[in-house]
Amino acid sequence: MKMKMKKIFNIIFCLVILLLSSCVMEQPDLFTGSPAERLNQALKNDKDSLQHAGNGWAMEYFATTGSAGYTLLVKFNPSGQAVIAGKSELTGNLLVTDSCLYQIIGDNGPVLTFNSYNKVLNAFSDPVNPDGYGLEGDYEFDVLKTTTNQIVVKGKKRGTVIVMNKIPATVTWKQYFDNLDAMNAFLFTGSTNSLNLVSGTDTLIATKGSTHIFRLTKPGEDPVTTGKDAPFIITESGLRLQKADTIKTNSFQNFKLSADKQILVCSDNGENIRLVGQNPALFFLSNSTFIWNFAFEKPLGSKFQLLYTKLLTNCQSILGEKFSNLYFRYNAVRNSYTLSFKSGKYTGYYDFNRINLGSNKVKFEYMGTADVNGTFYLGKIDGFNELLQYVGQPFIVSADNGLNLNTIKFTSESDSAISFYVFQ
Amino acid sequence: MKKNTLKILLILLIPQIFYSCRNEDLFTASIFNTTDTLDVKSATYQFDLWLRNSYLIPYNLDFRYKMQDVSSDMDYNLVPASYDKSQQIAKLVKYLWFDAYGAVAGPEFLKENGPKIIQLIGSPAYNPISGTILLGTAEGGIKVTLYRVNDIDPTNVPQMNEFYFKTMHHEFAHILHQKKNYPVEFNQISKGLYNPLGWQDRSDSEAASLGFVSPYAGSQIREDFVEVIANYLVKSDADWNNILLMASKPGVKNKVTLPDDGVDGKAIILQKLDMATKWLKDSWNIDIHQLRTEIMTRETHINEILN
Repeated sequence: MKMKMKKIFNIIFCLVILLLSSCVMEQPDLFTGSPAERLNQALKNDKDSLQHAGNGWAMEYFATTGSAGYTLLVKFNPSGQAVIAGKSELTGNLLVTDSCLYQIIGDNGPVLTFNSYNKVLNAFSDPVNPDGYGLEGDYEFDVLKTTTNQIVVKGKKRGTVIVMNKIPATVTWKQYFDNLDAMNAFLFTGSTNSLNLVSGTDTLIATKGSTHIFRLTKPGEDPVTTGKDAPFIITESGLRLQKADTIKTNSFQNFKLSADKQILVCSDNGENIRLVGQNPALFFLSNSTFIWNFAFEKPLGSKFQLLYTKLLTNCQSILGEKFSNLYFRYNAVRNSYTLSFKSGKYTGYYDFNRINLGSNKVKFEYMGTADVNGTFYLGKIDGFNELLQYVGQPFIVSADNGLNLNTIKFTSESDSAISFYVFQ
Repeated sequence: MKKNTLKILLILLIPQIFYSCRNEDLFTASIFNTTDTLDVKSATYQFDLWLRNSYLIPYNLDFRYKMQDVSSDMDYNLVPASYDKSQQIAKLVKYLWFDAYGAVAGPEFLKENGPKIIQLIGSPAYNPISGTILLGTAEGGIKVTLYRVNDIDPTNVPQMNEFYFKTMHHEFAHILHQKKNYPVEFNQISKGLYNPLGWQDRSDSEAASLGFVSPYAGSQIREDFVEVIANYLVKSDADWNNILLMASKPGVKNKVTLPDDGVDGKAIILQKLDMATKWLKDSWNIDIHQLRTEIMTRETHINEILN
């Protein structure tokens, strides 16, 4: 019995020593302050950084990993109120601003939460259309990195990495959106052409740029059944892919418009990866179903300008009609590429063949046939015969904007005074 | 001697175990901090102050209008409540729920039995597969979540009753029966008529003819019980009588009269109301008719509360 009591005593004694010592078995502090203090300091630092940008931040927002990017401008006020502006199809393409509350809260680390409703931001997370889902965007973000001019966050649910760049004090928010609109219009408005992503001798075809989600495929492959999506966002200097990607071993994400505005260049890691447009002549020849309208508001060659003036004048003076349009259009019935016109309420056309001369050159060859109205105007109005002569020759095909072939230029190979633009 | 030493050591040891490494009080009277100094520079200072004085101090209740995804159901896609709507509904909840119960059941009733957290969510919680939406939840008698706050229209009392106040009374009735169970006899009244998965396919009149005050009441017994209370409390006389009228006729669905279900829906609903009335009186000393009158009266003063 005594031995048993002694054993019990020894066990309890050891337990007491163990418990009493448990509070002093600590390693020397490797960091200053407790974890809670350090987290609180991190929260304060991040909040200070957010508020530091007097003109706010340009938030490059991606709702999900498969979504196109939208720019939101955000200003964080010390009162805990955030002002958010957006301009996209979600706002009816109007600049819309709304305020809400925000906080930097602690979770596994600092979390930026917009914790009251904001009609601009929450348009991406409102679970409607389709009900229950919507666009599934985040409004709570883990703060990954904070510098003076850039803050990087990550959506808590969807995991998209979102970059916030400090907006210069000299730019108004309206100007900022106008700049983005101008860049988007330059690159994609009316665009139907694909781009080539070129790295050395390697090329990927980038289609669907106007959706802001590139479909990247290898040349010759079907973009529907092969390839991958690469969502991107328009930036002031060009565009940025949601995620960095690679072609062979070269990575690419940020593309800037070149000084001559002909290509987009990525040099994130010193590479020279380029997004370039298609050959304008081949693009024109390969899309026979497009209607190409003459762009009379753009500069015409001097001779073509005189001809255009003559057509306007003569249609008005002889027939009392306004000569209003000239366009190329494929006519499947006649199997010809017609040069069509509209004068007053009448339209007519002339049959042409298109011939690929290579090296950016295309020849229009008049077939000598026309419809009834075409024949009538040719015989009645001085200038139509000249029109057929001007158009019926070899042209050099070019584009002022090599990235967006919505508008292309034809310049006579033999006489640069005969030139005109056409647009889709 | 050794026995005494052993006892002393045990006496020392036991407090040591509970004492751990800290000597602070772990618990206070409130589960929330009621002494934090509110930031007078905060954009929400006035509202936060009102919430403290209206909910936190008197009811020990944390009124959460700022969205915290971590405390909401992560399975749903949700948006936060708007700040303006949060202020409106906070005042309405206080006036039409807390103060109404206070007037009928006494000021201590909700302090003792009310939820400790009310959470606002801006959007409904959609269940895309079933085509239903969640308007409110009550969790463990502690937390009530109200959804669809951003759609509240204070000028439309019927809409507010249907989507918000009915939800409040519905969820609170859940809290009450989780503390004191409803009569077991209630389980037998509509036994065999509940449809947990297909309740949303029943029309209002079809549900009523079966003895349910709403289609959702026909989903489960406990939902049936609280729906009787919630609907009776917020429905006008005309609307309540319309339920009874529908219940006394064969159900109609898609303009087609359904075959006679053999159930006297009106009698069933009135039987359920009697049972709920007695339970509220016996278990909680609440007169449901008096409470209903109090709520109805208050509903005529909503504009004064919000302005």
